[in-house]
Amino acid sequence: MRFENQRIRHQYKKTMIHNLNPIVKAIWVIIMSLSAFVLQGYLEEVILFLFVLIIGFISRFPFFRTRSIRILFLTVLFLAMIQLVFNKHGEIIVDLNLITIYKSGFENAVYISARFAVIVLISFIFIFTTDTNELFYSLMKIGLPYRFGFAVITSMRLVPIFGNEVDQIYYAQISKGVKYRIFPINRFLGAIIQFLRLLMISIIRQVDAMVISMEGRSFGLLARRTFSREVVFSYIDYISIFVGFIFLIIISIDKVF
Amino acid sequence: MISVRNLSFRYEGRELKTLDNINLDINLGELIVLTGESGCGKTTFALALTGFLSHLFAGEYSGTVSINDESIEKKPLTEIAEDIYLVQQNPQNQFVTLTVRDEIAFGLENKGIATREIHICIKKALQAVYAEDLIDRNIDTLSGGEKQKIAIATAVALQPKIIILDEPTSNLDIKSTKNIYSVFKRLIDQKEISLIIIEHKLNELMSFSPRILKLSHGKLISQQNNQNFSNILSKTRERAGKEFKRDFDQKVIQLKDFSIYRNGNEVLKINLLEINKGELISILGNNGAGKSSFILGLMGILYSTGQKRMILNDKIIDIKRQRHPEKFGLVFQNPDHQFFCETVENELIFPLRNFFPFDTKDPKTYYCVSAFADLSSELKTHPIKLSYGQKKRLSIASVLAYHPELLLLDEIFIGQSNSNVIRIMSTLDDYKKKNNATVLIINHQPRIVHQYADRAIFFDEGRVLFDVNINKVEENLLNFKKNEYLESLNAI
Repeated sequence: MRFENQRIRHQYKKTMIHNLNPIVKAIWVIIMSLSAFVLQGYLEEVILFLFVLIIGFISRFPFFRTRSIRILFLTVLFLAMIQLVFNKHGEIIVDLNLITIYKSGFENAVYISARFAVIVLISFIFIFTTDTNELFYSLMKIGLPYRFGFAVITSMRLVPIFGNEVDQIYYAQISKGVKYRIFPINRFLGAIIQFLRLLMISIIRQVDAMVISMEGRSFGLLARRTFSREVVFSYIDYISIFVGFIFLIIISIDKVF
Repeated sequence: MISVRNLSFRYEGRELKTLDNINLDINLGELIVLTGESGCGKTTFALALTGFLSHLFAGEYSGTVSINDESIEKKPLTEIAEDIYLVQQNPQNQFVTLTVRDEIAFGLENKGIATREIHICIKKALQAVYAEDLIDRNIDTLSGGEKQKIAIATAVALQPKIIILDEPTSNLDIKSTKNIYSVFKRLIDQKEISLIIIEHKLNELMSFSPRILKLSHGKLISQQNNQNFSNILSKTRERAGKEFKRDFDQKVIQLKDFSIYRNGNEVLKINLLEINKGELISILGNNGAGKSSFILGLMGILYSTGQKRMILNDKIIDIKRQRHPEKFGLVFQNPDHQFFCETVENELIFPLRNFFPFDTKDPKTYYCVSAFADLSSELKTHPIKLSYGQKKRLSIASVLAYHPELLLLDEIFIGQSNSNVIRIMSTLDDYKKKNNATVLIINHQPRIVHQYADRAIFFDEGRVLFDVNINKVEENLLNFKKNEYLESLNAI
């Protein structure tokens, strides 16, 4: 298996999952995460995990080109191993010379690993299929206070800018003879403080410019602003929400009774 | 329409007033060009006209600014914004959202305008700046010129009575600058908006017959029409009387099959390039052509492949491994990233002290005071309090202070008046001659730089389009149909 060093981020694709309304996708993430906790049997968790995998394949999630999947795979393996090695309850199902696997250890290994994988993987798929900008515009349109929504959107706007600033400051330091060597420690700390101070000044400047830009365009003038983006709920979105809630109710009923 | 009376402002912690008793009237539909040396108070004046100075900045403020006889000092900023809008110097910093459509809609949505009307305004605003095709683009994918167009479109969409543009072309290449001027022409022709343009490149604006205001040390020293001002411009065109050296015997850089990469993508490919000791080279090209990548690749900051031989005193240099960075003098585009000390004086000697900690000579003998004379009165000032142009000059002075053999200067003339560009070029020329140093200057000011340069390299879409002696530049620009560069080179 070869994993490329690709970060999980939103990618435009024409799939059914991408086309769903961001709010519907957020609701499904909540439903799947709740389901992972509500379900008690290890087989049910495996079925839920397979369901999430299918969603991933439908959305054309790059399973083998994402480093985070490798990290998820290793973490799941680690959680399973802990249970298999240390949980020694119930009858023995495998008895090798080096290791003995008990029924409870096996079931817990599958149950915990699948639950963890469901919650993380559904979040990855959500990030991959959802434009965060669109999500927050949708949330603001249905009632999220717009100041909060724009706090998130402007932060997202600043992230790549700050990444660039960090590079530039570091290059400028090196070109002016600053050395990032651990010893002597006071010089090393001095270089870091210089770096952080400049970064802080840079951040304040960026924020100042943004404040002028926002105030100059009457941000905060009205308690309720308009939104030119249309939040469209198709019949598939309504069906998806309906199916999701029915699914959650069924597994909850099963749990209660 | 706008009336400024006895306006003065002193920033907190500064001794001198940045604005000093300014009186001015501006009428609807007027085109005004505000010019002056860097640090003279142009941006502060723009902040005063838009109300930000009295509302957001700490300092001593006196006098009044009125729009339609209403004083702005007591009006909320959101109401002032109905009449006047400021497009800041760097469009990248003022975008709030992630897409062009959202960005132009932002101000209209804040005013509670109906959705259908917003869509019409977005369309009209983009038409006004010749950018209809950008409507569905993500802001981070736009070029510098496109970003500036969108910044202007956000202003146009709001339909203010006055738009102030703070050095709108300072970060742009010659082609994009020309595009932005065509946008101005369209706005001026409509005569519905007053435009106040803060600009150093006055020659391009002359055809619009603006009223020209000149600030000096915070004072409004002249209000002239374009005919009177042309005399001032002609003084900046005096030839430097340079004799071009043609033969260079020692190579400092040799590149063969050299590729530079950003984020895994090849951004520049050079088949063969040699740079000689003692050359002053002008590097030209549009934004995104690979000029900055070239410098960062040379320094070893960006990943590169191919043969790169750099011979400085018989030593091979690669700054990424922190070997001999003292041989290089690198000045980045944005001076704000380059200041690490709390006073101008300390900043001037900061790299010198890093590279030569046991040097006991008076540091003032190192930097060229003649070219950076205005910095001598600011020695105790914090570098971040300087104007943009002063910061640029400080970053150059601090590099010259340690006498590097190879100067790599990335768009150092942003925010500089013509007279300052000439002063800086003259200083660099002297420095080059005295030290037999090699100087590479990325610039969009060939008209002045080429009076001093020995050679020009033109980058185009990640390749070297031509690399010629300075006397052959016009011929090559003509051959490659780079008419906007040709016009810029021969502009009055």
